Amino acid sequence: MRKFILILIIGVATQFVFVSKGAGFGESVSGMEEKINLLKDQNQQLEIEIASLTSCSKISGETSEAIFSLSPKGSSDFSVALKR
Amino acid sequence: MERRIRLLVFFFVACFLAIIGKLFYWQVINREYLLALADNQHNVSLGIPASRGKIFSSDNFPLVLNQKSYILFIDPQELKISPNDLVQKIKSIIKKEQFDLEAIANKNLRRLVLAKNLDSGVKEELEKLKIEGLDFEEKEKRFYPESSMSAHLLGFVGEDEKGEGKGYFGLEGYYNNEIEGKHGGRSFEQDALGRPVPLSEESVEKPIPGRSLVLNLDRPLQFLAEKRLQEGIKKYSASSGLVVIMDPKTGGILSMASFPTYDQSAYYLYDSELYRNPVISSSFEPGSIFKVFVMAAGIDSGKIKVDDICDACGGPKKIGEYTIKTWNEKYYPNSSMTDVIIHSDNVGMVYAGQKLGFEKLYDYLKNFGFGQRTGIDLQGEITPELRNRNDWREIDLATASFGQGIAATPIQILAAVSAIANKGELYQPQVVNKIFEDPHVVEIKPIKKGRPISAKTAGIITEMMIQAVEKGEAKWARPQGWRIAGKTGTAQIPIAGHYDPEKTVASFIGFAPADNPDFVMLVALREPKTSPWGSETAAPLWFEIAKDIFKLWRIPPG
Repeated sequence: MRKFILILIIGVATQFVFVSKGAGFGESVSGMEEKINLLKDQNQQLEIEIASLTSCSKISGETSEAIFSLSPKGSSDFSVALKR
Repeated sequence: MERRIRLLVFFFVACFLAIIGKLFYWQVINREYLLALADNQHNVSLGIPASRGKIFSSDNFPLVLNQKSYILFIDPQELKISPNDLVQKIKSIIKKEQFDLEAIANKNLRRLVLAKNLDSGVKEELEKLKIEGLDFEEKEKRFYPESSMSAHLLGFVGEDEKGEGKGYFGLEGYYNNEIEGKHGGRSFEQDALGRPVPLSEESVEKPIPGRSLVLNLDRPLQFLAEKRLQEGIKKYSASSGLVVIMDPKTGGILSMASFPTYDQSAYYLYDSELYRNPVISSSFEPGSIFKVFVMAAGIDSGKIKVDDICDACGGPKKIGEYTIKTWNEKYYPNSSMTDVIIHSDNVGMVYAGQKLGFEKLYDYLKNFGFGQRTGIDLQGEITPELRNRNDWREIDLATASFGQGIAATPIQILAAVSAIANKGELYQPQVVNKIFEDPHVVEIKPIKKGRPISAKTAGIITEMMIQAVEKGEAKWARPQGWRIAGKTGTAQIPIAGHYDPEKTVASFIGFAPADNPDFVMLVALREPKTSPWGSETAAPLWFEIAKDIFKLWRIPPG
C-alpha cells in the first residue's frame, strides 16, 4: 500500500513538473510574441522618422537655407545637394 | 376527492405535454435557426488585416510606408456623460466639428464610429480624458515621407464597399493584388458576457503581408522635376503641365510629374478629376513634336531621301478648301528634309506626308505604338483611337504630318521617341523594377515591343533633331557643350469642332546625350500665357531640367 502511495505521489509530482514547464514555456512564448510586436512597432516608428528626416523636401529646405546664405544664385544647385 | 385528483393529474399531463410540445418546437421545428443563433453568440471570428507592401524608389528610399492609425468608437450604452459634454471634450483633439448627437444619445446602438485615421498621439490624448464608452480599433494607414511627391504615380489607398483598404489609381491600383497581402483571422468561443471561454477551441490564421515594390524612379530627379515644373507653370502662367523622363534602353520610368496634383494622404479633400494621371489618362494633339515620326516613317520606308528638296515649300499649300501655312508664315523654298525639321515647316511636312502616303503612315504609327496602350504598369491608361485605315482623306494626311488632327497620350509620344533614341528599338514603359516578398525578389525584365524603324533611320532622325536644337527656334535656351536631340511642339487645342485661336499645348521632347542617351524627356505645358510657343516655354524648361540631370548624374559635356 505504501509503495502504491509513493508511486502515486511520484506520478502526480512528475505531472506537476511537466504542467508547470508547459505553462512556463507558453508564458515565455507569449512574452516573446509581445516583445516581437513591440520591436516591430518601434521599428516601424523609426523607419518613419528616418525617412521623414532624410526626405528630399527636408534636405532641400535645409540646403537652400545653407546655400542662400552663401550665394544668391544657389537655388540651381539642389541637384548637387540631393546627390547623396 | 377523486375528481380533484383527476383534475390535478390532467393539469400535470397538460403541463407535461406543453413542455414536450415546446421542446419539440425548439429542438425539431426551429432547430436550424436556434443553432445558427447560438453559433453567432458563441463563435466569434475577427479579421486580422494584412500589412500592405511598401513602395521604394530606385535608391531604396521608402516612398510609401505603413503607420498605425486608430478608429474611434463610442458605445452609447456605456456613456456616462451627456452627448454634448462628450463632443465638447473631444472635438478639439480630433479636429472635427460635425457630430451626430442623436446617434450618440441612442442607447440601442453599441458601436458608433466617431472618427477614423487618428494617430497614436491623438489616441493617447483621448485616453487621458478617461471617458467611459470610448473605444479604439487599431488599423494601418499609408505614410508618405516625401509628402505628395509622385501622387499621380503612386495612387492612394481608399476603402472598398466592405470598408477594407483598397488601392486606387497609379501603382496602388495596378498592383493592388500584390501589395494588399492576404488577411488572416482568429475564431474562438465566447460566453454570454462576451468573454473568451477558457479551453475552448481557438483557430488563428496569420495574415500574409503584401509584397513590396522597388521602382525605377530616381527620387532626387523626381523631386527636381516637380520643383522645376511648378516653377515653370508659374513662370509661363500655364494652367497645367507635365514632365516625364524615361530610360530609352530599358523603358524604365525615371520621373513622372504633373500639376495640379493632390495629397494622397487626404485624397478625399480633392476633386476626383485630380486623381487621374494626365501622363497616361489624357490625350492631346501633339503638334510639331509629331513631325519626327512622320519623317522617320518616310525615310525608313524609302519614300523620302535625306537630301530630298521640298519644291513646294516656297509658300502656303492649298488642299481642297484648306490652306496650310507655316507657324510664323515664313517660307523656305527648296528646303532639305533636315531644314524642314529645323524650321518646323508645316508645308514641308505636308510634302513629306504626301510622298509617304497614308497607308504607310498608318502602318508606321501602329508600329510606333499609337492607337494602342503602351502597357505601362499604372492604373488608368487610356489610348485615343487611330483613325481607321480606310477613313483617311487628303487633308487628314496633311494635318497629321504636322501633328494636328491626331491624338496621343504623353506616354505614347515618349515611348515612341525613345525608340528613335534607342537605335530603333521600342521598349514598354515600366515603373516597377522589382517586386519583393522576403526573401524572394522578382526582377522585372525590360519588355521589348518591337523595332518600328531601322538603326540607320534612327541615326538620321537623331541628327535632324540635334540640328533642330542647335539651329531651331529654341537654340537660345540650350545648355552649351552637350549634344541634345530634340523637337519643339505647339499644338492648338480643339474645342467644339474648331481650334481655339489662343490656347495651345506647348511641348518639347528630346534626349541626351544624343549619341548614347541616358534619358528621354517630354515637357508639356497647357495654355501658357506668357507665350503660346513651345520654343519659348516648354523648351527652356526642358533645358533647365536637363542641366539638373547633367549635374545629378555627372554627365560630362561632349
